[in-house]
Amino acid sequence: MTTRATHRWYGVAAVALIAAGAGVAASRPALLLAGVVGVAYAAYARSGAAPAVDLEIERELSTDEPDPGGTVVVTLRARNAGPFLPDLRLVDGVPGALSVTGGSPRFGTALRSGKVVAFDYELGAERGRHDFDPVTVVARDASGATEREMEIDVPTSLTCVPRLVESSMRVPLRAQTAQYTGPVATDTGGSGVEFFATREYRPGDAMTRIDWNRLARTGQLSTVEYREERMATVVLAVDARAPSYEGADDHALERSVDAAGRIAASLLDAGHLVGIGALGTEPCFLAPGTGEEHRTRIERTLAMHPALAPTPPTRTVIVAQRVRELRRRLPANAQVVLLTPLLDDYAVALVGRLQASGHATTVVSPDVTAEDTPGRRLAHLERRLRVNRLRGSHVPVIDWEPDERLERAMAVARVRR
Amino acid sequence: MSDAGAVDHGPARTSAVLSIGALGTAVATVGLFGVPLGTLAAVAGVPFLLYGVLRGSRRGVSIGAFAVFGGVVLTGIVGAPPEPLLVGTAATVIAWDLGEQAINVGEQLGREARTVRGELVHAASGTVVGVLAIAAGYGVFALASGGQPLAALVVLLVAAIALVEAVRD
Repeated sequence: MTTRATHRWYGVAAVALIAAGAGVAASRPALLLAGVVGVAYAAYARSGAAPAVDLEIERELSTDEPDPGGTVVVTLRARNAGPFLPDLRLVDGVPGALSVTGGSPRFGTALRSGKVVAFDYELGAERGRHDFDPVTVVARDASGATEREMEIDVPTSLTCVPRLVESSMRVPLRAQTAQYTGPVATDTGGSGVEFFATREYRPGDAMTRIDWNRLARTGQLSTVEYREERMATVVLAVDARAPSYEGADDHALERSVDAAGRIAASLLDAGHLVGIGALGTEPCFLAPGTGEEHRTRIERTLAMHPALAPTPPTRTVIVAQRVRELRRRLPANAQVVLLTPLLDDYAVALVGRLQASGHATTVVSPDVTAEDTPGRRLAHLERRLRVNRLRGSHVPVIDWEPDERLERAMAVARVRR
Repeated sequence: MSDAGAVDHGPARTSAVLSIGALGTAVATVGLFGVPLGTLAAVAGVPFLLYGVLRGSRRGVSIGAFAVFGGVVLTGIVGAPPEPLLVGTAATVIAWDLGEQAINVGEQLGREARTVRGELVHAASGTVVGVLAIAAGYGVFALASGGQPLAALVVLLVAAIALVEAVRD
């Protein structure tokens, strides 16, 4: 709590002295009297002491679990348990990552002892867990000559978890698979539904797979092989280093996380094992899994993990350590979908390292570069080069342009292959 | 103070309007007595205060109010009864106070915030002080018009200033 003089009446005594001086010099008693007004205001400015503030503040949210893009109405209610406050100003501590969409989180009023005042404003909900900062209270005396400032903490938080909606988006996956039957068509013959090849009969082949027609026609025993369909283990790794926070209102990380959610949903719906990893301020890894419970875990990790916070990291990220941790925890048969804006060469090197440690990698890259200034055009071109370099080394890159639907970007990438 | 997004920190409207009104009153009181020099000085102050109060410049508010006060003093030197001088001075100080209030409310809370109640209470309390000062001044004048020398009034005023200085905490 701080008390300070505002010095806003500084110089008002001059009114008294000038009027009196001029009045005396010109022998005008009436003008001399006008000096009384100056004296009165000088006295007014000195009379008040900073008022004692005893406020009880409550914060109420229309919902503390809004949907992304929804609106939360915040109502702040203050009760004056102390003396009359002639000039009370309240500034609510809006969480850093949220923006005010209606009204103002600031309020000025006069509040009598024992009375309650309330005001509200609207916040646009965004992914993540958001804690409110303390309410800043400024109280001035009637003349405004002194003010007292303090912060009153009203712990409130809201969490906004984007749901993984049902999705039939076709995600182009690499051929790396697990030993379990699943939806990825492999280049191996075996049991399945789609015809793959026939080969010479070997003792032990199942009777149902013997090509009886051929035996009848030619008298040779042969076995039909079907294309084996396997389940893939996919880890969606989100690049949450500082460059990912580039981009005007919708930065790359938001789009990466959004894409990760939709890819996870479609892969889970198709029957794959899906895990989550992040290269950010804190270690973040969710081992691949499947099922409803796992789906919820993915939702919550993407929404609220500190490594994927919607505000840029305040401390430096030790990326090498994060990459080491990720590689150590990746299951041997896992392929990786790396979500990165590709704004620096490290992202390309990272793909190389993942591939080198035996994880087939696909890159999904939200494009946040613009072409309106020479500097931005350069960044745009550099990114293009990185995309081409990756594609040149046979890494599929899904180049997701702004305003483009992810489904379309995926379809374009499938055609390219 | 935390800043969420782009907040318009222009001067608060209520105090700005009241400040302009108070200044208008001061200029009108001076103009009523038709002292050309005084009226000229007072009118010259108006654009400064308008600029200060609408664009958020404390210097503009101070220069404008000071010019209008100059007009009041010039009118007093040339010769005017105490009533317009007292009202003109009080209205000028109120215009100055409310102009600064508009700016500081704007700085701390912004234009979108609801601040009317606090501003009205501040304006009312400043106006009450002005009315009391006018009443006191007029009372002294009524008593002193019995022929007391000017020197006695000066000593009274100086004593009052000294008293105000003494009540600092």
